[in-house]
Amino acid sequence: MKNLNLKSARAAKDMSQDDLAKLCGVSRQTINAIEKGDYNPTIKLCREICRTLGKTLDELFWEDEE
Amino acid sequence: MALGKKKMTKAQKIILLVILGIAVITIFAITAVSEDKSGTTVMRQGIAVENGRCNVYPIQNALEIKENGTYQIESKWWPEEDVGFVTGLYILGPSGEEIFAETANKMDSQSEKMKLEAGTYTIHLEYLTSVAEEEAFWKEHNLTSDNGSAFQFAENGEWIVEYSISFNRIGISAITWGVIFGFIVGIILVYILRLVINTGESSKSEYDERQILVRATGFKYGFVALALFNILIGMLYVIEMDIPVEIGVLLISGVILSIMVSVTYCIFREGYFAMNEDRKRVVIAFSVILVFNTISIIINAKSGTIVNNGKLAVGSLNIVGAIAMVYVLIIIAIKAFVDKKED
Repeated sequence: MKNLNLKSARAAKDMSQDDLAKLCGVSRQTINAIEKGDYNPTIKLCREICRTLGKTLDELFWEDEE
Repeated sequence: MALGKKKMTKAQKIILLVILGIAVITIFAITAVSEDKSGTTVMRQGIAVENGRCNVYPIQNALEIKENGTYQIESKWWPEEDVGFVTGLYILGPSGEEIFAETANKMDSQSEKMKLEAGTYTIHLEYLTSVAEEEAFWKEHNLTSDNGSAFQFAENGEWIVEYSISFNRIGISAITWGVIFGFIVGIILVYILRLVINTGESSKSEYDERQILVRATGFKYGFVALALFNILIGMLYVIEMDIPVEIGVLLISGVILSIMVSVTYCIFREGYFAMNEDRKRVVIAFSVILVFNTISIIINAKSGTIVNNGKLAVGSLNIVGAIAMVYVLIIIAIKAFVDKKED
């Protein structure tokens, strides 16, 4: 399932995938894979992304039941 | 006062490695490409026997040894048709002393190892057409036989025999030196390429957590491919199928195949290029390796080391390497095309 929350949070900060990847210390392809739902990141990387984008884990990685 | 350890910069590392590589190549050039210490003489002789007598006088030829050392004398005369006489061979050293003697109708053998001095050696061939002549030769050259001559001498006949006498120097061959130094230069070259390819100061490739997972899966597929390849080759050997490839070439080709499987998976799953690697530099580096391989193929083709006794020999590994490089470059190009289309 696509992670649209992450994509929109990144866009809101006016960041490219490459910018976010560099700040989080991962490759652009990894951010792309997370956004496309092809890869489930470890909790360590989730926290790093949240810290970089100023969001909580719930906001970026918790799926609403509805 | 403790001295601080100063870390080498990337440029300094590259220069050091290039110097090291040149030094290794120079040693190789001095040791292996230097003059061959072995020598061979070939004599082609027409011999006729009439009424049990040979009408050809004994012949002799000179062979020069340029350096003192341990040698083996390789004598070969193996005419396709049976000949009706026995050849007596003896070799005299530089001061006239006899160092080797043998009689045989047909021969393809190597002597025991012997220490020989530099100088000119004379090779003498005599054609023995009767038991009496053969036994006289034995007596003259201190040879012994348990059963005496058992050869059936012909009364009449004409034959052409090619005699090949070689003095083979015992030591590490040029091919062995080539493999050793090629391996060392290869390691140095790979390390230099890693330094050039990586964008940071570190020569170590850095992968993120997803890439590490992808690479682990890639290695798994590579391992499975190698296992299947080895099983296939093992089965072919069990059923005694003649494979026109030397075993060493097969083994290394299997490793290259498994690497290709792993690389293909990693490239398509974006786990091949490290975060600190410049893709353009990787492509250039692979192209350079491809050029080196192509040059090696040409050299091997000229020196005849690609095929040995009808089987693909160690020289053919450069062809396998070149095919692998072309394959990787094609896979990188396909992946780049797919990515561009998706964007």
